[in-house]
Amino acid sequence: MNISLPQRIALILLSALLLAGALILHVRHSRPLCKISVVNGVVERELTLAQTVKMLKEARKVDPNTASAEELISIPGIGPGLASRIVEYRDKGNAFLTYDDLTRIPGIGPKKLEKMREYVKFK
Amino acid sequence: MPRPLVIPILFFLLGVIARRYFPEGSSYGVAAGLLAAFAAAAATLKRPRPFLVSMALFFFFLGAFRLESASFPRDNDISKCTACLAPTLDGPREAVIYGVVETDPVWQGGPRARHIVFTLRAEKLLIDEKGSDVSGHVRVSIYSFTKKPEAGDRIVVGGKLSKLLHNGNPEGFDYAGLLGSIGIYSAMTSNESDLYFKAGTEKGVVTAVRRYLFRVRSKAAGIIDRSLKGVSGSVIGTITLGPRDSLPPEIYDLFAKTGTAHILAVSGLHVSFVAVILLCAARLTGFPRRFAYLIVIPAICAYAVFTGEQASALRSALMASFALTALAIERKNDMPNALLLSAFCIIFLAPGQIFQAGFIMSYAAVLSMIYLVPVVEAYMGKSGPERREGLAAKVKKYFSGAVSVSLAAWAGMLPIVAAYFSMLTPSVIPANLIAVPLSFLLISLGLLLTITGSIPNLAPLTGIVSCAAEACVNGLVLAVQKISDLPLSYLRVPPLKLPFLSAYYAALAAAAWVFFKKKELKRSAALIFLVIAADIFVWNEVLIAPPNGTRVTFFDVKKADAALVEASDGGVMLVDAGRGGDSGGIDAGRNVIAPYLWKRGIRRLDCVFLSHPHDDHYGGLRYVFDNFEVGSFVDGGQKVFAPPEAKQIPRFAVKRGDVINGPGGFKIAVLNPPEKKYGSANDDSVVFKLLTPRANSFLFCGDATSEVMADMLSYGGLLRSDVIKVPHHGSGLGDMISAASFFDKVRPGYAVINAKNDDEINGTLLAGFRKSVTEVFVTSEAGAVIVEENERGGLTARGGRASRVPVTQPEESPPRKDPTL
Repeated sequence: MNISLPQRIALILLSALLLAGALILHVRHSRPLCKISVVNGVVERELTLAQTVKMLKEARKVDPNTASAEELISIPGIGPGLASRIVEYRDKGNAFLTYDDLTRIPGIGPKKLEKMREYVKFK
Repeated sequence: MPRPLVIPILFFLLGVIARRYFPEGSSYGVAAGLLAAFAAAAATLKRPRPFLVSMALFFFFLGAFRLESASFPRDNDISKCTACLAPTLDGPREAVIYGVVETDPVWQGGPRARHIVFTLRAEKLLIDEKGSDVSGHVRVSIYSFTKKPEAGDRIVVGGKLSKLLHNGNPEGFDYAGLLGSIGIYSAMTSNESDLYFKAGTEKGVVTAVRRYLFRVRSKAAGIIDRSLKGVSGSVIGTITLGPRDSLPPEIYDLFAKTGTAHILAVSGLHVSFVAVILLCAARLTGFPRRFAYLIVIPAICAYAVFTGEQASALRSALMASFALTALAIERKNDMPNALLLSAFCIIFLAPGQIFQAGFIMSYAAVLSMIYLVPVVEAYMGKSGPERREGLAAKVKKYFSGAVSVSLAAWAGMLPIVAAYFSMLTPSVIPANLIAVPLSFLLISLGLLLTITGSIPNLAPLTGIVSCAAEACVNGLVLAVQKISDLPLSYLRVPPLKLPFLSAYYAALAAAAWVFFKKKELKRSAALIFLVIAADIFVWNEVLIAPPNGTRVTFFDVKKADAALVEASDGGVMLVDAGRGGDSGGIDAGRNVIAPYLWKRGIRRLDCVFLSHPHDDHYGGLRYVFDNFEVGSFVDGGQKVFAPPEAKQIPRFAVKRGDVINGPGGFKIAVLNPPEKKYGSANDDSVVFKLLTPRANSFLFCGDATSEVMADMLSYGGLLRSDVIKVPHHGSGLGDMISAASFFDKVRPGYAVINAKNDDEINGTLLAGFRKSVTEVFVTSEAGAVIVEENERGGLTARGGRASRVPVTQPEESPPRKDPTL
């Protein structure tokens, strides 16, 4: 095969380019796969169990001014009847400003109010 | 002018292509104007040829017009029905369509979700109890029916109608774009409870002929399925009758890896062989030579229709017809002319075909063979007419001929195959030497089987033919498998970017030109071309760099999970892999994850995380483990799924409180499962927070429910993350108060929900996120969700679907106030 000088130069340059590229790819692909390591039991908890329970209880508290009927029913002591009466009361344009305002609903007396207190909050 | 057809037909094809990429009237006008100016300039500079220039321009505009009239939606196209398919993603709507079946329905879907698919030309649409006249085409899938529809049937079909959505996964196959280029923009799915019945038949000779041919094909398919079970049946069926859905993807992969997938399609080889058989039969039954040539023409065209009207079959039938006509009238047949004319015929009738893989590959192959075979043969040093015509010389001639054809086709199609399959197949040469002759045998046996199988008296003969066919198929599959197992039989490569693609074809053309013009530089030019081609592929891959910062891609795999984390140092981590193929839907490993990885030049994964062993999370892992090297496998200690033993991949079982030093400098804090497990796969999901070196955090929640979220609340501020992958597809979480408190602690900037459609997602959850100014991405709407970190450590997120611009459909005009809709 007779190769003229310009062709020889072209071949040498192209082959050098090829070698360079192949070398880069080789280095890239022969990078060893990451050896992962696991350290046990290191992540610390910020809150205690008691604190989380308290947090959830607080989150479960219902605001009688804005809650839906289903949310009101979740309060122990409030059934569907009382819930609808609360909603009716609100729809008439009234609002509960304090805990004691809840006694305005027929069916909610002082004893029931005490039982409900920990499930209710006002925003 | 030796080939008067070249200029007009080339400009016709250019017109079709131009119109697709310039769908807007204004940009198209600019492009056309520039072309006209260029043509006029060329005409005045050289010898003025006004006739040629005007012909060229006429055909250019003819091509553009044809594409527009065939593929662009009209104003009353069914996909534009504003009541049902508003530009915003409304989801599928119940509708009833009256129309004509245009294509022969084909079976699709795995064994669990089998259905038929066909194209319907819509005429009337009934939606929300309002009817209207529509036009356009719909892709219809029917899951249950009593009588299979046929091409030409007028039918009424009800079901869920929706606009075709572009594939939201990066590097995913754009099925919607493909259908859009042939004028289909909407799809209907009809299930058991939906309406379907036949309301008549379309009249016409062409329809009648097609129906008859498709019926014969159905019968033939039945005969083959009765005589041959399993793989043999599907291979013989595919080779003889066209595509079958029953061909297992693993078998197809073997052929693709060895460059022999073309024998599984009805291509030039088949048609030529069938033509030869028919010619011999015609001559044996005493027809005179020229008459035989002429009667084989309609038979060959019928065969092309019969096997499903594929582009490759139609092309070769047309070319064979031209060749036979030339023989009959004793004129010389010019291959390039025949090729161009066949392209014109196909594209004139169905302009969208020019964008389909089948058409492109078929024509690229034939062009390579026409122009490159003499070049290759010359470079291989084929001497003149053989003196010794002994057996050895004949065999040598066969082999060198076969090798040069293979080599020529391979050289011409290399970048195209790399683009569609993401691979190079050096084994194509030895593989074709075995596969092509075997395919001839298989075609003959297949045809023989359908003939003997339809005559009950020939049952013993049918038995013998079936046995022979089965042995043949097994031999072929074994050979192809052995070849594909050889080292370097195939190489996964990323597709060539446009500059590299052009450089490749420019170099190829130059090498061919050198042969035709300057014969003494043959060998060295071939060598230079080879080095250039290698350079092109190598540097195309070198220039694909890992991302600047961490990139997390949450793939759109419907109601399943799959996410890929790419680090800036090249580290790659896969978290869950969606469903596998046996659940009836698509295999996420094969169709979503693997193409993404191959097209980015990624061949190895540092580690794979499995949150929990449910099929919608590990299904796709099988394909991933089979095709990629994996460094390690991390899960919660489950026993349902394990990586293949042979690979010996280190396994790590993690639990609450562990910290993993992962690839890319990632620190991973594991928040679930606890030492004492919950006992349900969902609740024992590995929940972890990934921290990047630039201090961005991603919280992956698997399918954990509210009980787990309540327990994790005690991690307090640690839960704070930039991105959250919402657990359990955003639904069925249990107690929403715990969930809301949990999300409150996470307070992400971006939330990603993998869901099939957004009405399944819990409303309170969505409302909660939106209130806290979190941007929520739902994969069913946004496509894949891609979150990228920049050099300064900031995060941006975008949906994969938004970046795909539909190329064929011109922009929607604002919805009209139509009183009837």
